[in-house]
Amino acid sequence: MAETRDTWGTKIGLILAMAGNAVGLGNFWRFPYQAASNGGGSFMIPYFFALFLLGIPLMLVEWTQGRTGGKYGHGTVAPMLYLHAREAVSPSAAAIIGALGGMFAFSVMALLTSYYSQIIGWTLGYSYLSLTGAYMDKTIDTGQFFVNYIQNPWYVFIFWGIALILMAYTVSGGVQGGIEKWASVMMPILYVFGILLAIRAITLGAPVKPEWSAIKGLDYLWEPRWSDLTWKSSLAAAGQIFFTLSVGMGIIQNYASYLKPDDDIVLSGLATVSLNEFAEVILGGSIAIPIAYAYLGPKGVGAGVGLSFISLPNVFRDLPGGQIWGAMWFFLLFIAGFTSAIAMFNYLAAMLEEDAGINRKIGAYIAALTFFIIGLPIALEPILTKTADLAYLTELDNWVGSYFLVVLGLIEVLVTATMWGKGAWEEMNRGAYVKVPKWYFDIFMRWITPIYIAVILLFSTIDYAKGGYFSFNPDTLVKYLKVDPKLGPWVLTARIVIIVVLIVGFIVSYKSIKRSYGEEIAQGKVLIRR
Amino acid sequence: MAWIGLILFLGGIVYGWVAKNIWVKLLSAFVVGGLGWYMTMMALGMSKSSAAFMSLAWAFIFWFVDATVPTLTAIDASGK
Repeated sequence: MAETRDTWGTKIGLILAMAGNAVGLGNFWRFPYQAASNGGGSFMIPYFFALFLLGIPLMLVEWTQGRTGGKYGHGTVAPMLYLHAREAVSPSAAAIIGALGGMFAFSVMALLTSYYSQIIGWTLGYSYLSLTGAYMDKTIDTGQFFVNYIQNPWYVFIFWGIALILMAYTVSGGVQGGIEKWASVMMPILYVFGILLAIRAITLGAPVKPEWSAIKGLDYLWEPRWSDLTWKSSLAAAGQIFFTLSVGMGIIQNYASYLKPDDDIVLSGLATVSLNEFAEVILGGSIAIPIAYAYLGPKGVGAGVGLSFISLPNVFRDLPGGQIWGAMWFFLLFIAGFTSAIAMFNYLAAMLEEDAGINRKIGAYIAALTFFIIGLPIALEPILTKTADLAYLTELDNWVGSYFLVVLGLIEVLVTATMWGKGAWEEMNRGAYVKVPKWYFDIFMRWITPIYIAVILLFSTIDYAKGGYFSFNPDTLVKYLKVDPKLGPWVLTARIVIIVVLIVGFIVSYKSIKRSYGEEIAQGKVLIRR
Repeated sequence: MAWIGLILFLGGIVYGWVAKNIWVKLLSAFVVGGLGWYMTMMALGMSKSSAAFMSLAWAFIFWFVDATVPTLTAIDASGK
């Protein structure tokens, strides 16, 4: 299988695809909101700290796991972790570790895509509605407009469907002919749109009140508020690094598995991080907040996640050429989400190809159908209950998008850096233009990074326990989620779906390892080496 | 002041992109580019502390991009 696997055509194509994988919706709406609410300029201190101690080491570990896996013909996390873990423990123990990691990767891929693809559908829908001027009438309440959107089955299913079919079509074209080709077109468009929007935002001046200017918005975002810099904001910074770099999901490994055995992974991994940070700190930090501040003042920027879909449409209708700027903003979000989601599509397509022998072209459409079925409750909840709390989505996101990433990140770094050690360092540096220093690997990647992640996990677990997240009582669940009490069954269903997907993920992952390495697990010694 | 800052900023990051030596890249993108952005933001009315934090973060990221992406592109072009 290894001989027939697709590979990346060019390094720059690979980096654009990897950057597309990492740059997502969170770069443009989550980062400015997190920074502004956690200390502004001073937030960047724990942010960069987490980037060096957590983000970069994990990124390099994931590239290493991916390249090793690709050499053996694997594109999924379970066998990749097995291959690294067997260097330190017995094959049977390595199989359990691999299956555990594979279980979390499978759950993140399946569940995160189920709601991420819906949000991508919203961005596409809003691009269209911006162009047609649907919310440009100043009498329209943009909050109610958003509620009407998610409760309208036509809008929801048409744009979600288009997004799913487009993603399946891209992935069905293969790594070089599909993902790389699309990323090479879409990523430059994303950066150009981002730069144009940032220039427009910074040069807005003060169109409404003299004290509300775009520069004051940047001031608000970057002002170091030391009193807001707490232990909690440091955890928020670490969480943002996980989210923004797409680490702890298994999708970086999947893309890295299409590398050639001696391709550089250190410089490529660092280039991916740098392009992601450019999209996040430079572009993400210069669009939404300055625009919202200039038109809506300090209250407008406190809208959090509602900033994109509720606050900014208010602004676009006041802005000259607002239909175009609005369409550009939502299309930027669409591209950011799309190029990340195709990585998750490719993970499932690779799994179907390798474990079930299903052709990639068919596998990509099976993936679309799977994400459609798993995502149905998210689309149906607002339509059927006439609410806008999105309780099912919030429950999935609380676990999959915030907690499982950290667990998988910890398993990954423990297996490759801490357990395998020197061998992993040599493997990481093979073919590297710039080498990772041994002292950095030994001190940071082997010890500080896993301890850092373990601390994040510990405090997150305490927070979850205090908040009632571990409860199975529907009344407690709706209380901690702060949603309409009638949505209790939806939250409980989400919880059950998560558990079922975890169980399926473990079984599928273990079987995948056993299929390739059953003989060495039975004999208790390594037999297959490439 | 804003225009001088902007020219320094753009010049710094562009020269940082084309320069071969990592220390020249650091001096150009981080020091000159960062200083240019600080001057621009100060001239546009940003507070001193906000402008300093923003310029530091931007300077680091531009240096990071300048140090990695063109090197990779060059390796790609050489067919290695």
